[in-house]
Amino acid sequence: MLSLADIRFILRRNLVTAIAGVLIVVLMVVAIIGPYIVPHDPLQTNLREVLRPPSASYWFGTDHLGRDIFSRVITAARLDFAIAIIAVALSAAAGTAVGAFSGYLGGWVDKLLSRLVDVMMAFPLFVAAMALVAVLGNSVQSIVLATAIINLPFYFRLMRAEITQRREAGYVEAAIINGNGLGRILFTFLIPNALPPVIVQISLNLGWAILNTAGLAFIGLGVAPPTPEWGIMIQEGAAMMISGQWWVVVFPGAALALSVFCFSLLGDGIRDIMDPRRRS
Amino acid sequence: MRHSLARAILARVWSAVPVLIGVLIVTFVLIRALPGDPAIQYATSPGAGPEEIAAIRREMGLDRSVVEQFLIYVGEILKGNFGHSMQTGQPVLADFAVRLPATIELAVMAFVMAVAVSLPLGILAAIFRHSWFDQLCRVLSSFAAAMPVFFFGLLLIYIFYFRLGVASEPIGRWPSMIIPPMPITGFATIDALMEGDWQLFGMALAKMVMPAASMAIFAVAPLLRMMRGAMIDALDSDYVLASRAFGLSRARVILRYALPNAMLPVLATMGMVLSTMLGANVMIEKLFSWPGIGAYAVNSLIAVDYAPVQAFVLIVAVIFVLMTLVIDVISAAVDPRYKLRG
Repeated sequence: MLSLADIRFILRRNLVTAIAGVLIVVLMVVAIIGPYIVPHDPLQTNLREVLRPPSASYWFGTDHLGRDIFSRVITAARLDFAIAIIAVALSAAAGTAVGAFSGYLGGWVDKLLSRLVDVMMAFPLFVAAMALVAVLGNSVQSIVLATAIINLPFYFRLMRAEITQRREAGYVEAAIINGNGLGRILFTFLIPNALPPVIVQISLNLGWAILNTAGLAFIGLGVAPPTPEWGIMIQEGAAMMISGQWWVVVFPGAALALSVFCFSLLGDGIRDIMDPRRRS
Repeated sequence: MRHSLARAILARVWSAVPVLIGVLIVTFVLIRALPGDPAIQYATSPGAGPEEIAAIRREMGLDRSVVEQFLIYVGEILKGNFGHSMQTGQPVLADFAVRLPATIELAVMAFVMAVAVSLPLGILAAIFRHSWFDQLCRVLSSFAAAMPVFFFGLLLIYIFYFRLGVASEPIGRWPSMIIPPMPITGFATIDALMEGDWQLFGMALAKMVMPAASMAIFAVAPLLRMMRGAMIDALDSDYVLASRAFGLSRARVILRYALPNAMLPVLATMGMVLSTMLGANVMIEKLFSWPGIGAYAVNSLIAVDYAPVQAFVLIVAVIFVLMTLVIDVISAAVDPRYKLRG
């Protein structure tokens, strides 16, 4: 395990990772308390204040219905993060468990599951998400489930590879000889040892899941207006980019890009910290 | 040795078969899982009785076993019958044939742009490792990876169309006031050239620049990182050390020895990027009202018109599988060190 001094040393060497981590904490706090502190009601339309540029009373300006963009951007963080976190948690839990099981058992079970995952990987991610939304119906729950399913193969493959490598290790043999059952061997001895790459994957995945949710909302799937959500806000503001009202798109877009940026930097940083060979 | 290579390639081709069958099964399950009973939807009058519905059911083959239905489905697909689109009233395949050239043209343009930008940057970043230039490339690729393509497209529209006024109107493939050339191949640029009209060619190209640039942004990060990493491995290798010891010029060592060896992993990434661009440019097609297969599939999906969606998913997945296969086989044929997965 890392001691506190180690972590301090690593953080000093990885300033970018530390900053990304702090920003993510800030974004999370905003997502949690945001809806209570916003200056305006994110759903309140005001036809006398339509498409106002950023000002002292409307920090990010107003959209085509006179809604306050600052309040909408802040409120949207909760929904976008919640979808991404729930989906990635489901996917990591299921993918890790099934992958470990498959890698440990081997044989025809492993062959069948691996082939199944190969087939899942044959569909480009965004196209697979679209197809799943078609089957599950156009709703937020479908987006969560679709995102969870399309990410499953990554965790499955990662865990399966780790377990296949460790299956024959001495400590596993010792555990078997001591009469531990399959579940205990997997969950107490094998999976915890194979977790580090999964954690890196989770961090990279979270950014990608946020992007995916916003992308689907942008093309009209999943979250529906008037709910404040970054992808929908960008879609609603698209026409205004041609007539010059940049603030309708730029603020939600920047919030989206910043979140994805932080998660991917954090993922890269965690990978460096967990894998000492890659530390430079 | 050649003999065993041929065997390995055959084995690799063979290993794609179960995946293709799996893809067919998944798309078949997809239609069956879709909401709504097709027999009731097909019934001519809303008051159709149970006997009438049963007749339709028999006619559509819905009373047969699942396995039989699957075989019929595969047979129809092999005949090129993907059903009809309720929105356009056309066979889905005909709709695709009209729209596919627009998608391919845009994807190829975006691919060329992404490669032209990322590979030189990646090579230079590897040569000047740990320099300020390398750092800059790193920031650039992280930035490009986090940038949502549709947001980037909108930024380009604002800057180059609204502010600077240098880009053409970001809607569709042709300016609204002109008569487009006869669609002989369906590729706007090629059709313009076949008519010998350079002005039209220029217009078609100008229309593609912004959507293609927006699509290219997502490919910059993987291509740049892969190129840099592969080039660093090549530069650190023994053969590069040896050729430098022989006193070959720096340019010769890099261009003649390091670069060709570094291209192999990059080739695989390029294949991934191109097939993703063919299938997953849905957002860009939608944003720029580009008349391609992605926008067609999304519009059908939102209109609850499922035949085109199913065909789209199937076609894109098949392209994806075949592309991976081709890249794998080329890599194995070019480089004896390459191990075929299979």
